[in-house]
This record gives sequence, structure tokens and C-alpha cells, in this order.
Amino acid sequence: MAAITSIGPLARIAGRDALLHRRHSLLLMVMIALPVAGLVAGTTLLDSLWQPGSVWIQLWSSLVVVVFWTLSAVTLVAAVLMASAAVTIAARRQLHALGLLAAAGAGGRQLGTVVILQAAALGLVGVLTGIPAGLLLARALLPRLARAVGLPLGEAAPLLVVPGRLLLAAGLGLLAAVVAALVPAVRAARLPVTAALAAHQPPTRQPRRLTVVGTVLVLVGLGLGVLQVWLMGSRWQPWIAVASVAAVLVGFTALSRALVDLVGRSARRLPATGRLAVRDLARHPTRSAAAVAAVTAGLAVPMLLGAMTAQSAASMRDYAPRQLRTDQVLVYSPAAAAAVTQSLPGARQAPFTTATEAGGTEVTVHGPAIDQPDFGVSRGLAIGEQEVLVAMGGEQAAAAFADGAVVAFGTNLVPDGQVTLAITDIPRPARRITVPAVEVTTGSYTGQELPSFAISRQTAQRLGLPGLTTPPRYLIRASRPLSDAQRDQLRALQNQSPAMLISWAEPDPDLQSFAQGMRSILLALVAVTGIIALGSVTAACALALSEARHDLTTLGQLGAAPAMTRRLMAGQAWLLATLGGLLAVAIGLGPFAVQAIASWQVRPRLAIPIGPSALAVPWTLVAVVAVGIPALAAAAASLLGHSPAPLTPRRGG
Amino acid sequence: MTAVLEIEQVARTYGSGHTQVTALDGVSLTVQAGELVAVMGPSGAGKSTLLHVAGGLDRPTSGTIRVTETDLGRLGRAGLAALRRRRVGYVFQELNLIAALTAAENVALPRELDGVRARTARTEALAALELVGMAELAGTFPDQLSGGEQQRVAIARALVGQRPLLLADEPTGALDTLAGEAILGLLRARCDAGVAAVLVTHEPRYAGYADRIVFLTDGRVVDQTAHPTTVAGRWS
Repeated sequence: MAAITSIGPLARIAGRDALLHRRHSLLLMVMIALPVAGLVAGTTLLDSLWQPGSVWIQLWSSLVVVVFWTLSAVTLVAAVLMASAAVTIAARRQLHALGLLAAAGAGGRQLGTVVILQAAALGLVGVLTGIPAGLLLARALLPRLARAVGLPLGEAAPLLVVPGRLLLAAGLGLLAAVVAALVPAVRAARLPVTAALAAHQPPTRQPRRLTVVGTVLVLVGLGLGVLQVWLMGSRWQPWIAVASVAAVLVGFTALSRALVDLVGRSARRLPATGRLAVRDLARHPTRSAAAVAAVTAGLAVPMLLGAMTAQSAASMRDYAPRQLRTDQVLVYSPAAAAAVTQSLPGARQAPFTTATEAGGTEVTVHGPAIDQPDFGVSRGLAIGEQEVLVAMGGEQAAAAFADGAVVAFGTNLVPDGQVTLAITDIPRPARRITVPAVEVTTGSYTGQELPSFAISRQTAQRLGLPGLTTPPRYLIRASRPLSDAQRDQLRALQNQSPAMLISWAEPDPDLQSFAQGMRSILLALVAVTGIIALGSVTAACALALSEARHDLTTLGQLGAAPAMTRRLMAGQAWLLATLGGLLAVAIGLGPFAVQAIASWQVRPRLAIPIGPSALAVPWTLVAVVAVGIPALAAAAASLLGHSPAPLTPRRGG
Repeated sequence: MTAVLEIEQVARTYGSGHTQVTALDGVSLTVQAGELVAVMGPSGAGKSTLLHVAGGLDRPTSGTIRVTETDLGRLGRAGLAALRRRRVGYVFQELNLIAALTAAENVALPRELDGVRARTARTEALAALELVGMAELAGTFPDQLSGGEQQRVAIARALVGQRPLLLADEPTGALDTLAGEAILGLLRARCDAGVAAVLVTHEPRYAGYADRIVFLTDGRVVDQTAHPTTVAGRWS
């Protein structure tokens, strides 16, 4: 009962303290208003664009919804982390006032209530600001997005506002504010009265337990990554893959405080500005670890999607069966070969025969993996000179080819390094010979146009293979994948002389559209999570600036250049964003790297071509996350330090 | 003798209209190399303001200040910062040590800010800490030091780098009598080695170490000829 009756005065105290510490209050409000605005804008846009007839919606709706809610969760986590840092620092500044309250008889619970009430009130203001801001944003973006997804809604596209969604956003915003205040409230409640009166907060314990939990989670995540390779093909494999990524994500985020501490220890050898920036971060882990964790959680989302897309593209490259590559043209006569070579600058032609003749003479290639049913490997054997190997894309196997090996184009086709040639050479009896083989990792050639295997003319003669007298075919390899114009030229050639029989690969429009859509989603993700990262780092730097005013005054008094504050802020922001970015890269690539390493251990034991390819690193994305965003964060934070701290008190003595 | 600090008709006012406060009103003062001048006066007399304008931390409303013949009025913000790094050592009333840096790093800071290599700056810092008897605690952070030890580190920071002018604002405020005497002995020794120093103090006992005492009241110099031996009991 006493607790209820004391809410009134406690709320008044909370409100007045919030007004006294305007900068922290404003930061907390912004931290709540931004995710609320994002949630409102996002849900309203999704509802307004949801047209069942739209092709774009049919193709992408499920991925967009997953990405949107993942982003919303990440934004809320980042908001809670940074708001918690702001509340902690505000509570530290209010220590004396809290101490006076305690001395006047307030209990620990009542002190905690002051902190929570303050955060809830500011959170409410943030929610009330965020909802209209989100609706305005949605109104502004709707016509553009409608055009982008091909919906004929026009400039006056109707905005579909669902009150339930607004309530959900408001509830989540308020919850985030209260959750952010929980740890500072518990600390305030446990504070000894004398320490509070002296405005001295005992140092917090080193988070060893958090470090241990983080390390264990990362190890478990990587272990699950290995396990899922062994379970390839099982129905549990996708779930284990998801659990692996989740464990690595949470584990690395939990390690952010230990990482900040570690970086702080290594500051001794840095120049003065760097040392000050790094030590300040390490001495205030509440805000720096929160910012690193927020950046990590944000940037890990595009990194994971980017790494997944890169692995999928690499798998397509390595495994997807194909008839011809996009830089190859197959023709059946010397005239056609000459005409095509002339129309493709830099192209080289390679004549080859196949060991197949009308009348039943045939050589086919066999092996445990090659003979797997439903795999569709073309078992034919191309016989030619070195240039046919180059035209097929197997130049790296040139030495083995010259030494008499069969070159297999595919993945895991020759795990034991040999193939069996089945020779039907009427009227001689059928026979089988085993020859050494090497593999060039590439998509298997399927169908009848181009064989999956090649052997040199000299080796074919030495082995006494038939088929050397069949008319040659010509494989032409262009210097780069064929352009639309070049394909048009080939079509024109084909139309002029239908007898020429020219074959080439047409790009798959569905695949192209998918790749383009994926790129757009990835770009949007990088933009949104980049903003989350920049916001978190800027908030941490603003808090650092408010706490470091005294030190900055001292630096100025000692003769630091006026730009020192700017450099310190830029240095801190760069370091926070780089640490967060590197953790995000580790989260994105870690599970796939472990999976790739494990797959190379497993691969020789597999009789079928399956399992992930070598690790594909999305370098552009890595550069954006680990270099570009930190550079932007540094530039943004340097603006915070544009006015140097005063060198003297306002009044002389 | 060479004049290291020359202050001519300096005034400093804060605010305007009916809230205007005059902290300094036509103050003139010259400090020669090797001279230790004590500035005394009641609270609000303008002692700290005098040190602020002399050290280039604040600009006077009118008048001229020269440090080793450089007119501070002609310097911009960057020029004043360079002057503070190279020519003025400052001991602050509130110590102002940076908590994130060790004692040696705090002392080396003005030198490092001036572009001196970290290793050289550290060697100079250790020498300065040796002078104040703090070399053994060079690797300690300020929050692990007592008030007296922190004050010694602050003084070492003002001594490092052979700067010709030393400004000390109540440097013994946090110290007991014995430690205060030791610090003043140290300042005196630096002046005997050729450094010019201005010491703001309330304590006549410490003013006894000075060559000359300047009395300030309401922003004006009321006496700058007094010798320490004549002031015993005047402000006690």
C-alpha cells in the first residue's frame, strides 16, 4: 500500500530529474521513437502494398516479411541496448539525488521505481513521437515503393492504417523503455546510501560469466555447423543449420564486452589520441559494449544473408548441371566455327571428336559417382588437343591431361582418382579399361551436346580408342560471357544459314530476376542496418561526449589542438563500428567457414556429388560492413565534436 | 633579467548590463625568468582569472599579455594551444588528471600532444615524475593514487618539457603541510633553475617561498612590491 501511495511523489521526482538531464532524456526518447517509427512505417507499407495480384508480392512476400520482422527485432534489441546505456548514465548522474532520497527514508524498491518511471515516461513520449513520424514516413514512401514493385497505385496511393499494428508498435516501444531501465533500476536499488550521497558508484564486476556463456555459445554454434555437414540430406539438417547461426549470433554479441575490455588493454602502444579514445571506451563498457552489440546484431543480418547468397551462388556454380557455359558456343562445321569466331572478338575455337560413331561404336565413362542414377552426367568423352581442354574451362588440369589422364568436369565425380572407360568397338568384343582421372570443379555438363569428360588425342590413340574418324565439332570459348548483342548476332547467323547448327546458353530469366531481387533486398538490408549501426555508435559517442567534458577541458588546457575532440569522437566511433562490423563478419562467415572445412573432410568419403563448396566470401559486403560503415560512423561522430569544451569555468575566481 | 610574462592593463569582464562582473580591472604585472611570484587575495579577487588569461586559457576583454615576447592577442585558437603545449606549464586547483591515463601517460601528454615521439615523451615524463618522487608509481592510474600523489603527478605534468612559465593555482590545496612544503620547495628549485612562476595561494606560509607577492582585491592589484618577509600575518 505504501508503495502505491508513494508513486505520486516518485513520479514527480522522476519527471523533474528527466528535465534536469535533458540530453540523456532526449537520447532515450529518440532511441524509442526511431524503432517505433520504423515499425509503424514498415507494417503500414506492407499492409498497403499487399495486393494479391502483384507478381512481385507473390515472388518476394515471404522473404520480405521474414526480413522485416528480423530487422524490427534487431532494431528493438539495439534500441534497448542503447537506451539502457543512456538510463545507466542518467542514473549515475542522479546518484546524489537518489542518495538524498535514500537518506530521507526511501527504500531500494522506491529508488528503482524512480529510474523505471523516468524511462517509462520518456519511452511514452518517444512512442507518441514515433507513431506519427512512422505514418508520415510511410505516406512519403508508399508511391515510390508501389512504383518499384510494379503496382499501379499512383501518387495518391491509399495508406492502409491498421490500429492493431499501431498498438503493437506502441506496446513494444514502451516495453523496450522499461526493459532498458531494469538493470540500472536494480543497481540503483542496491546502492549503499553513503556511496550514493558521495555520488560514487562502486565499480561493476567483470562480466566473466557473460564471457564464458558467449564463448560456449560460439563453440556450440560452430560445432552444430560441423554436425549439419555430417547430417547432409537429413530432415534435421536445416534446423541444425539455423540453430548453429543463432548460437554464433548470440554468442558473439555476448562477447562484445570482453572484446571492448581486450581492446582497452592493448591501448598502451597507441598514440595519445588513440590511447585516450580506446581507454575511454574500455572504462565505460556500459555504453561501448552496448554499442558494439547493437552494431553486431544489426550488421549480422545482411552479413548472414549475404554469406548465404554467396554460398548458394557458389554451389550453383559448382553443382548446377549445364549444357554449355555462358561463354561457350558449340558448332558442327568449320564454316560455322569461322563465322562465330569472327563475330566474337578474342574467341578461340577448339575442334574435338567424340568416341561415338554411327553403327554402335562408342566409349562411355563410368565410376561409382558417375553412375549414380538421376544425376544426369553426360558420360561421353571428348577427344581433342590442349585447346579443347581450355575451351571447356579446364586449363588448370593441363599437365594431367598431357600426361594421359581423363579430365572430369563436375564435382566429386572421381573421388578415387580414376574412371573406367567402357568401349564398344564392333566387331571387336566390348572391353573396359581403367585410366587415371582428375577433376575440374565445375557444374557437370549434361545432355548430349557436350561430354563431361575429355582426353587428349595422343592418349586416345595410345589406348586404341575408336571414334577418331568422326567429323569434328568445334567448341568456341569467348573471352567473356556472351552479351545480349552477341547472342542476337548468333541468332542472326543461325537464321541466315539454318544448316549451321549453332548452340549457346541462354540466360535463365527467372534466375536473373531472382538474383536482382536478392541484390535489392540485400542493399535495402545493408542500408537499414547501416542506419541502425550509425545511430547506435552516434548515441554511444554522444553519451561519451557528455561524460568526457571534464577530460576534454583538461586536454584543451594542456594545449590539445581544437580538433582533438573531433578526432577523439571519430576514433571512438570508428573503433566501436569496426569491432561490431568484424563481429558481424565473423557471425556471417563463421558457420559457413566451419561447414566448408568440415565438408572437405567429409567429401572424399561421399560417393555422390553433394555438400557445400569452398567458402565463398562476399568481399564487397565485407568491405561495406567492416570498412565502409565504420568510416561513415567516424565521419558522423566527428560532427558531434565540432565545438570544443570550454577551457575555463564561466566565471573567474 | 628577461621578462617571461608581461601583463599590461588587462581587464576581464563577464556578462553584460546589470549582470556584468569585472574579474580583472587594469592589472599589470611582469614576471622575470627565475622569479617566483605569489598572488594572494580574498575569494573572488580575480586570482584564478589572472592565471587563466596569463596561460592563454581565456582572453582578456582589454589589455595586452605577452609570454616570452609573444603577444597572446595575436594568436588564434590553434596558436594559443601550441603556446600552452610549449611555453606554459599549468597546475590546476582541481588537479585535472585524466582518469583513463596512467601517471606517466598524464605527465607525457603535453609532449605527445606536441608531436614528440611516445618513447621520448615517456622518458621525459619519468624524469619529471622522479623530480616529484613519483617515479615508482608511474604506471598507476589516478583513481589508485591519494590526493597528495595526484597533486605531485599534476605538478610533474606542468614541469615536463622545459617550459619557461609555470602557473600554479592553489597547488597545495589537497596536501598536508609537510607535502605542501615539499611541493613549494620543488617550485622554488625550478625557479632557481631559470623558470618563471606565478603561484596563487591563500597560505602566507607558502607565499614565503616567493620572491615577490602581488595582492589582488576586486580585480585590482593593490600591492605588488611586498616581500614575503613582510606579509606574515597580513592574510592569515
